[in-house]
Amino acid sequence: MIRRSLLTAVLILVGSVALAPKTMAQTVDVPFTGTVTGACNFGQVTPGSLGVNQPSNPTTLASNYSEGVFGQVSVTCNAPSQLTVSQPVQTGGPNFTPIFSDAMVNSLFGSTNATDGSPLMLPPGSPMMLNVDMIADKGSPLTPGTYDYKVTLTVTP
Amino acid sequence: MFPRLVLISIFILTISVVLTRNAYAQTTETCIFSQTVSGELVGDGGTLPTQLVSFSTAGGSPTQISVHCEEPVNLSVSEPIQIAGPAFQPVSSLVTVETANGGSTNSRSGSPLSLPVGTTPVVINLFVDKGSLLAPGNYRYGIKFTIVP
Repeated sequence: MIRRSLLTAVLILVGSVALAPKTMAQTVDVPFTGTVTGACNFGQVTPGSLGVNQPSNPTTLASNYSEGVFGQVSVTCNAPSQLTVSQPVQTGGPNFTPIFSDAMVNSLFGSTNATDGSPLMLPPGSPMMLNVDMIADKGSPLTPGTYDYKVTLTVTP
Repeated sequence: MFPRLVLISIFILTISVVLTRNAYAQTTETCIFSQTVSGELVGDGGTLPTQLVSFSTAGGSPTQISVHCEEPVNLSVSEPIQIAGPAFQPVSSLVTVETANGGSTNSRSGSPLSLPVGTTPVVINLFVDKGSLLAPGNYRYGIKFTIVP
């Protein structure tokens, strides 16, 4: 009699377990979409300064002469990008047309200049520091004064 | 006597299995989901985003769906599941589900959202943080609901 009750109890228990409410996972496709485009950001620009090629009757301005300092700017891209640099453009001082001018960008990843034209290839990721150099050769003695130039960096993701 | 008991037990068990199957069949129909507005993710963090968000404050749009349930249920939601785009492992992610009357749940909290019988509109927001620059591409995420009657 005890065994029979036990068997009944076991079977009822099995039935109850099978009947227990089931946790039902309903899978629903709720999509979210978004697009990230290739982009680059320049950091704050540190202006450079220009030195002269000789103390007396200088004819050439450049940032790699003594007294000169490279300009600096950092750039950050989320995709492989190409960087180009323009020729220097005079923005102040006694105006002249140089017989030769160029601007150069140097980085850990390579360099480019305005004359050659082949761009600097930048990898995506962390900010990269760029050193910007320029030269303007008048070919004759420079008039005394304070000269200002700018070069334009263009980055294309 | 013993065989009769076995017979009765088998009968009960069979009934139980049949009833259980019916119960399973019902639960698959417990709630019906219909999307009313599809969500849009935008990059957050300036021109070089590190996060994708659907929050309207950031310029995205949440997904809005209607949930129609035949019985009261508890709804919980999964973490975002990446379906397309440059793959990455997020450092942080979150899905929030809110109803108009202030009820809510999210993919981190343990407390599910109670939904009454009938139709309840819910608003779903999604947030994924890569922790570094997001590669350019078209990203797509999905989420999964778990319904407990």
